[in-house]
Amino acid sequence: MDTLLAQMVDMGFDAEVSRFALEQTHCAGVQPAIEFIYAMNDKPNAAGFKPSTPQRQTTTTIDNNNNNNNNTSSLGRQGTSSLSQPTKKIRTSIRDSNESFDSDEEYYQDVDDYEFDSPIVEVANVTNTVIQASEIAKTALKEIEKITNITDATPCAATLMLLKYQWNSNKLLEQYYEDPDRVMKQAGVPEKEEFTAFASVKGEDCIVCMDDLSRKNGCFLSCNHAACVQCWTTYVEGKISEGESISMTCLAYKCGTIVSDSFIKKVIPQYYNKYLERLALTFVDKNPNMRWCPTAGCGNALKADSQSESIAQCTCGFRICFKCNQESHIPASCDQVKQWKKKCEDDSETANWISSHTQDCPKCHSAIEKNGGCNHMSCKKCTHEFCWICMGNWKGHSNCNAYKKEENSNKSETKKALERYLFYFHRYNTHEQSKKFETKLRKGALDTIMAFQNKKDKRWIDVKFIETSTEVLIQCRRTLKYTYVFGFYLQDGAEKNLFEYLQNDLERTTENLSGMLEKGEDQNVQQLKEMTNLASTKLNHLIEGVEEGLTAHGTKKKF
Amino acid sequence: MMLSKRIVKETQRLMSEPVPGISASPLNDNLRYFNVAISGPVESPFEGGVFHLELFLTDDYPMAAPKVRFLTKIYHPNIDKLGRICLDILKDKWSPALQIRTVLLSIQALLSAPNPDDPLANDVAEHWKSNEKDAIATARDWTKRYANTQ
Ligand SMILES: [Zn+2]
Ligand SMILES: [Zn+2]
Ligand SMILES: [Zn+2]
Ligand SMILES: [Zn+2]
Ligand SMILES: [Zn+2]
Ligand SMILES: [Zn+2]
Repeated sequence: MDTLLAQMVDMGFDAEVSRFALEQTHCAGVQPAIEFIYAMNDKPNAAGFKPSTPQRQTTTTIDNNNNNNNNTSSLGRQGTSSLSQPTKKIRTSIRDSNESFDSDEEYYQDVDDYEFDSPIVEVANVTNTVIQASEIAKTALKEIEKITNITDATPCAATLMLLKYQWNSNKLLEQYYEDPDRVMKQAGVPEKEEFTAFASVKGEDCIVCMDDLSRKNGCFLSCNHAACVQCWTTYVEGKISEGESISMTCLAYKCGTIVSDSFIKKVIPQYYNKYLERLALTFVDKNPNMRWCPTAGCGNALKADSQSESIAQCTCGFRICFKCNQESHIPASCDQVKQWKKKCEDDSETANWISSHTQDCPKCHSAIEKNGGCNHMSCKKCTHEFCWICMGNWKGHSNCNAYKKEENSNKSETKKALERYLFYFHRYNTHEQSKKFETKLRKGALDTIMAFQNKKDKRWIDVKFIETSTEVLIQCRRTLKYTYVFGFYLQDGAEKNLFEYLQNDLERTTENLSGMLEKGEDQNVQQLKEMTNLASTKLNHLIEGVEEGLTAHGTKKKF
Repeated sequence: MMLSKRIVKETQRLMSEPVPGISASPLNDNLRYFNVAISGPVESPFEGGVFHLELFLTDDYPMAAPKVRFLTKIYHPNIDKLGRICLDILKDKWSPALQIRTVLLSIQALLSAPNPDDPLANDVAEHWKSNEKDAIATARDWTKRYANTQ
């Protein structure tokens, strides 16, 4: 019974459900028990996978357990049990099937069923809006327009007010209705937004170039600091390229008069669009609910849809922690990551030798280059299968993740501490490397999806699923990476044993999933689904285990 | 690059109406490069010394601040070993309406009123804060040693 139960739990079934099913089927085997569960659980889409659109990720939220307010219980975990039983109808790969569709309608019906049948366990997912780089300016301008329409303020004044209220237009309007003058004043909106352009100013020289201003070339704001068109142009151009926009002031020394958008539109129309672009950037820079995606060349902005949100995901795959602006680091805390990164910097020379892409096969010693994410290696020459991380034999290999202290050793404490650090760093680093390879896989899948003009193409669905799988895989990798930060700072004891058990479990499943996905197009979609489901289950086990404090109470349902 | 009308005008004025205690003259072969001498203000630790500086107007001038540096060694919390000066108008507070004249006046004022709370030379600033008397004595000593005209 125990072996059967363990097998079922390994496959991602809930322990209690499995036990019940095994009892009901007289422990005849795993297969009858699974069939029993299917029959018992006749409601499809219990924890259905919802397809995500590029604009918005709509899935369950799991928050970082290290919330500063310690209000873990109130964090937005909307999902019910993370363990879903595989639903009854599981279709085998559509590519292999010989079904034909009589009509579009029937086909779409089928596609919908298919997607919702996918038994994807909801993984530590996030709810946030991603504003594509090209949409940021438009989005900001829409907000500005909304305020100008309601309040009759000029675009410049509207932006100043929005900035003051950190782009929270509802709060701004609320206050504005109460006392418009106070809001305008607090936001630094100039009382008169007057300016003079292309005027002849008799007897005065441009305060910058000292040319005389008698040729309809004088421009000045309400402060009367007159400069020529050419100097204003050079000045504004320079300020914009330095990233300034709304807070740009008059070019006179210590003059705080704001250069208004209408002034720029009139005097320097050729830079007006650039100015608006910069304005849009303040929309992200000065908004506590927004972050730039840190991925080089991405340029998207991430917006948390609520204050309690601490993680957001970009369409490029990057996941950010809103609290520390670093890559999302569940299960480690912001402080742990900060401390860890500092340590890595300090020890960068000792740790450098580790990040190598070639190692020798432990059996035949031929050099093997790693060009994928999976750490379950097999030597092309002698077919020996080994673990890239510990170089041990893959078969019967376990607990590669747990650092074992050498009890009777003459090594100095410093040496021991260094070895321990290197153990964790090596694994942290290896998962990061793997994640990089696997992010390429994800991109490949996305590119393939894009290439399918016709969503009716049967292959489209398979590729769509591969994308989902790589997404889960990357989440597992990212989490594994930070489990080594968390583990490094975790005291020895029962909690650590439990943690390492969950970590090892996730690690093994992740390598299996990675190995499958590396096969590329040639997939058995059914197997891939099962493995994806299993990996997300293991990921949830680990995250929930840590959230619940790694006590037997918190994790008992998984054993 | 052609010398702008502004630089020509500024130079003419610097020569015809010099600021008391300050001399500035461009090189003959590079009219954007000025040799500057500032006398230590009275009642400052720099009194009696003459400090030489170089001032260079980049192509961006006046949109960008001139580059100024002390050539004479000076013991001052806002001036480092390389002679670089910590002065807001030479950085973010620069305005194209400011001129060479105003920059030099500001540097002269900085000699009168060192500001150890916004230091560039940390050890000097520390010295200034912990024992102002002693720091001033060192500054006097350096003035005698490095900025003496005799
Ligand atoms: Zn001008
Ligand atoms: Zn002004
Ligand atoms: Zn991104
Ligand atoms: Zn963080
Ligand atoms: Zn081999
Ligand atoms: Zn291993």
